Amino acid sequence: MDNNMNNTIDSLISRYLMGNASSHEIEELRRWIESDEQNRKYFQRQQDIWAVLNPTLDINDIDTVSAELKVLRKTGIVSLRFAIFKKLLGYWSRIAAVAILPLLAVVGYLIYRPSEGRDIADVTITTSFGCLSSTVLPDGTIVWLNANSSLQYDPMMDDNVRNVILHGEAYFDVKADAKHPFNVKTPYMTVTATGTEFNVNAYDSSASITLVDGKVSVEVESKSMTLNPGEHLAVADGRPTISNHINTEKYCCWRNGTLIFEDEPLFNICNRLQQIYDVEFDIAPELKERTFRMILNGENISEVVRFFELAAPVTCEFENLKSPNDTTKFKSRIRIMPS
Amino acid sequence: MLLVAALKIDSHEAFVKIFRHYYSDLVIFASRFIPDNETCEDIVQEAFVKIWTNRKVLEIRTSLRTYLISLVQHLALDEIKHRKVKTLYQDMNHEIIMSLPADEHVMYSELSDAIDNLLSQLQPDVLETYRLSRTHNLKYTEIAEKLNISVRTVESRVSKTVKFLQQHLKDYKIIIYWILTFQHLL
Repeated sequence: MDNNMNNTIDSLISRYLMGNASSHEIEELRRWIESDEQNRKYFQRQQDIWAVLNPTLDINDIDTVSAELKVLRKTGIVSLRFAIFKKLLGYWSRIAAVAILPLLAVVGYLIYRPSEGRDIADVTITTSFGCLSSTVLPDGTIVWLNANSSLQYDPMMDDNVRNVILHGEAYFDVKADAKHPFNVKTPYMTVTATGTEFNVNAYDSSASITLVDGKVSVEVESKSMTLNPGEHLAVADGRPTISNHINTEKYCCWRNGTLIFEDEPLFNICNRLQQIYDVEFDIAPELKERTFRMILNGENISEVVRFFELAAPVTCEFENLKSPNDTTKFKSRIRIMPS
Repeated sequence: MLLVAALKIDSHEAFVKIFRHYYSDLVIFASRFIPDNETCEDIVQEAFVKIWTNRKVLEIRTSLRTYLISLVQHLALDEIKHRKVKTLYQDMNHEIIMSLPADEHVMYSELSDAIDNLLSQLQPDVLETYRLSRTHNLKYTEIAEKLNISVRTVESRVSKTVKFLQQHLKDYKIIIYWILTFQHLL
């Protein structure tokens, strides 16, 4: 093949791959491809590179974590309970080793509902401090449950509406079903979705939702709002505030065992840590607004506190508080002071 | 082939390792033939379930990578034949594309570093034009308006970039092809 011919063919192939070739040109290319085995190989290689250069789907849209869970279930490698154990052991065993409460597995227990006159009881999944779990709901929705949280749902999910009640924090990958809206009820707000991905944080001290994909509507004190992807809604004193174009990963990465803080005031960081570790913070007033930037990857609380001391002139002291009901249990209070 | 050996003695860790290493690449690979992303994910998941179910009798002569690619290729072809799903290449016989031997296909993550590297060698304005057309999926007329240049300039910049990448990646592909042929490992 001479150079000139080579150039003509190359630009013909480029035009074809970019979808700009006329039917006449496609016919010409087809004849060229079929005329010689070498030509066919050449075209295939070019097309292969083209396919890599122009993937029709974004690699970030592929949720390997959910897929792994599905495949492990289908192969029977993990049963539901085992999947949870595996996750716990993987990410949080280091925390658990030092955490005040020993690592407790997920407890599923049943709550009777006599008032509705039904024999089917709701299922509640709970996680203790320092633990993380994931599960697939009866409708196919995948849920990741953060530490110190509980999720209650109807195991039949046979009503017109799919209802779950959340305390704490969870990430939902809702199975698409426009006819049966999926409702997440929390003390401060209710989130309604048909098939989306979002993170809900609803511990006692906070209420927020981060939308990763799709659309949801949120009801706060009987006022309804719609969120778009990349938007974050936080409720403070009963008033909702929406911020957009946020980095959703920052709010959702806990499900991989990671916490990200980007120039966040110490006060906010400690609030977040209190949700996950069984500790209480007591911060000197002048330090509350001091900002820190850190990424945590399953470190235990003593290691986290050590980061504070390394990053700023502060001293942290641990104090064990006796539980009023059970004298064998301790909760740590960590006092952060200027050094 | 340590991982395959581990798989044969029922190692869950080996299976998970293989899964994490190849899953997204294989889904992107399947999407070359089938435009529906969910079907692509299903196909690749099915491939992994098959691998686990048949682990005891698994006989891999080439490499695990090649084996997985041809398995996904087969399943995708089955899907096209039986369910008559639409393929991406209506005007060209898809058998042409699929008849490339499995070990000669390149995977997304194998080339993405090289692509980034090549793109960084482009002039900033050419690169921006290319990005707008590829990553943001804008039409040529939209890009022309946005950058205040003519549609012809957009067209020539994009095709120049594509040619540049094709040319350099062709050489690169041959290199990784040899590496992968001899490595026979992960």
